[in-house]
This record gives sequence, C-alpha cells and structure tokens, in this order.
Amino acid sequence: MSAKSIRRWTSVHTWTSVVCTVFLLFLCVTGLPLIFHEEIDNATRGYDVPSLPAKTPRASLDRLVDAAKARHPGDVIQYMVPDADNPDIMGATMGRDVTAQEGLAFLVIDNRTARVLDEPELQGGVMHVLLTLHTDMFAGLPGKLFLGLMGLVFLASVVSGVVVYKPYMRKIDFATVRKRTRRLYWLDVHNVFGIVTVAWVVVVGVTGVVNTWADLVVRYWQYDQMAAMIAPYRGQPPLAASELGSLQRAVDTANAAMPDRTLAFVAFPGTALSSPHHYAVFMRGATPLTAKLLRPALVDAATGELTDSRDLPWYVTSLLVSQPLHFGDYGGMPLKIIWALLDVIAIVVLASGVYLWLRKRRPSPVDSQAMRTGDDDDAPRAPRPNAAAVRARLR
Amino acid sequence: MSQREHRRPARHPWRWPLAIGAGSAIGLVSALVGDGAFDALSWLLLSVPITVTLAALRPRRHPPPPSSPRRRGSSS
Repeated sequence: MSAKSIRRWTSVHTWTSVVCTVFLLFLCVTGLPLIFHEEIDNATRGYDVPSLPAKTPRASLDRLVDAAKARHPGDVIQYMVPDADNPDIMGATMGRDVTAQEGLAFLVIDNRTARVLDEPELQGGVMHVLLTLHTDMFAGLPGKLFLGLMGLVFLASVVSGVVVYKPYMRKIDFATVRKRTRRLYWLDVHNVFGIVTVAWVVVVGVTGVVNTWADLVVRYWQYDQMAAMIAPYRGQPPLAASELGSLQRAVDTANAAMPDRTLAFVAFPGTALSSPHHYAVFMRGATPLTAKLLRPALVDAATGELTDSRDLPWYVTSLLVSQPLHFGDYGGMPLKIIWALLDVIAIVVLASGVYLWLRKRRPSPVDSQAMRTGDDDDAPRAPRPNAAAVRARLR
Repeated sequence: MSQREHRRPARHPWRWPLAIGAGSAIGLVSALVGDGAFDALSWLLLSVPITVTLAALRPRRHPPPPSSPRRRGSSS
C-alpha cells in the first residue's frame, strides 16, 4: 500500500470515528445492562407464579381476554405474548386504542387461572429508560434512524481501521502491547483489542443498524404483503372492539394450519402487525433457528376462519434474525457474559481512540520529545521506503 | 542500523486476526442454529478474542527472538 493511500485511509478512520464515537460510546454503555435485562426484570418483578399441580389445564384465551378487559374496562388489547421462559404466563399489552403508543399497560396473566398476577410499570423504570435511550434517545423514529446512520459511519470507521491495521503491524507481532510510552501503550491496546473483536463488532453493528429500520420494515411489509392478503376485505369498515370473536378459536385455527409450530404472539386487529379485520397469530418453529423465524396466520377476527398464511418475506426474516444477533440472548447466560465482556472491550477501543486523537492534536511535551528522538516510534531512523507512512500512522 | 533483517516482523499480519474473526463468525452463527453443543462451541470460539486481549495486557518480557541477538534499545 502506498504511503499516500495509507494516509488517506488513516484520515478516513480518524474522521469517521470523530463523527460517531460519542454515540457509539453512549450505545455501548447503555447497551451493557440491557444485555441482562431479562434477568434484571425477573429479579425485580413483584409477583410470584402460584404453583399448581403439573397437569393443571390452560384456561381458554378468551378468559384471559376477559380478565384483561375487567382490569382496564376502557382499554383494548393490542398484543398477547406468551412468556418466553414460563409457559404458565401470558403477557397482554393494552392501550386506549389499538394504535396507542403512550400510556400502555402491561398485564401478567396466569394461563391456568386467568388471573392477573401483576401489572408492572411498562414505561417507567431504569431499564425502560435505558432501552429508550439505546434505541432512539427519546426522539422516536428520527432518533432511531439517526443512531442507525451513526452505526453506518461506525462501520466505515471499522473498515478503515482494518485497512490501516496491516501497515501498522509491519514491525510488531500479533497481540503485542508495548509499554514504552503511554501513547504507544494505548495505540497498541486500541489495535489489538480492535482487531480481535472486529467480527463481533461488525455483526452487532450491522444488526443494530438493521434494527433501527424495524418500523420501516414493518410498514413496508404491511404495504407489500398484508395488502395482498387482505384484499378481499378492502372497503370494509374496521371491526369494532365489540365485534371481536373468540381469540381461542383464532389461535386454534392457526394451530391447525401449522401443527408443528407454537404460539409466538397475537397481534390484535388494527395494530401495526395485523389488519383491521384479523387476529394475526404469529407462530414460531420448534428448532432453535426456526424459533426466530415466525410465520403469521391471518385469522378473521369475527368468524375465526383462516384468511391467509404465508412465510414472512426476506426483509422481515432478516430483521428477526438480526435481533438475537444484536442482543446476544440466544446462547444462555455464558453467551450474555461473553457479550458483556466484548462490549467492554469495544468501550476500551472507543475510549482509547478518543485518547489517541486528543493526544495527536495536542501532543504533550514529552511526546514531542519522544517523537523527535524517535524513541516513541519503532520506525528505524535511517530513511527507508514507507517510513514516513508508518510514522504518519503512529503519530 | 538495519534491524529489519533481524527483527522478525509479522510475516502474516492477517493470520491471527483472520483465524479469530472466522472463529467468531462460526461462534455467532453456531448458537443460533442449535442448542447444547452448538451453544458450547459458540462460547468457546467467542471467548478467544477475550482471552487474547487479556493475554496481550499480561506483563511480559520481550526476549529477543533466537534469530536476532540485537534489539533496538528501548530507552525512555
């Protein structure tokens, strides 16, 4: 690589990093506790699941719906989601209307007794604040898209960092951290930590960017596929809440259509994931991989008949696969711990990058001295090809 | 001074990063497609980068490689 192109890539690395590092540090720090949000939520939950005999039958989903309505008579249910860990628990999201995004309630309902066990604060609490900061900084869709853009700039910074890694490594062995000066120490730490975590960082970065497009992806799916599936209902007025038929029947219909799958969640009529006339019953597969790849059945909410069921298109599938790859929640507690440690390493890379940048802009007297005498630099004193480039990189 | 012949520059600067990167990629996918052994493989492969960073920080001497008796002094 010519000295000129090294300089060029180095400046790409510097300036893309200048643009995104503050936000990436913010994302890494807010993301760290979020890796363990499930455990934290479970530890702070205010209810116990009653222990009943093992063979206690499930209550009809319609009784669960009734229990939720009794709790919040004026509200409507938006989604019902079986708990991922405890098969005896169903979660229900309720709002003033089906599209409400504020003032939502979340009910924890016992599947067997149809009793509401708890109503945890959905939009308060430290974890919710962290999650909102992490996803959109309380700025809604624009905030999300902005963070996605920062993610793209960050990926450019990672790529340029990898490009300048090779010339930097000409004189030292892999994973060498020299301690001669503080700057050299942090430069080596930046490079070693950065290069060994690059695969993980790229995967978490790309999937994070994809997640920022989730709202847009769902809207496009509505326009692309939902419109075709519900074409026969065009022109019909949306179902009123009082016209909703049996949820149990709808889920039974979906189960019959996909006997090898289990319920992932139900989107009620009118929500972003359904149509105004249907329960969208999303079913998950039985294997670890297909468990992430949902398939919806659109069931007429009045009659309980199946209207249509198709596999999700590639862009929704990509979104569904990028979620676990971003969260790190798909390989048990050890994977979460690994995720957290890799996140800490990423924080070190970002912070050392900031340090090196500040140091380069205002070198301390000691550093300047070291540079003049060449002590700070492994480049030989005698002029040789590319020595200038190596110096430019190291400085 | 011509240390270049004596120092042992990383001849294949990409060898370890590529190996670790490929291992990480396999580890990331492995836990996604299966449980049990697939999870364990993922834990193993993804702990490699963490181990390398810890090893790199470990205080260590820099013995000159056998082929190069001369090393540039490090005074500062």
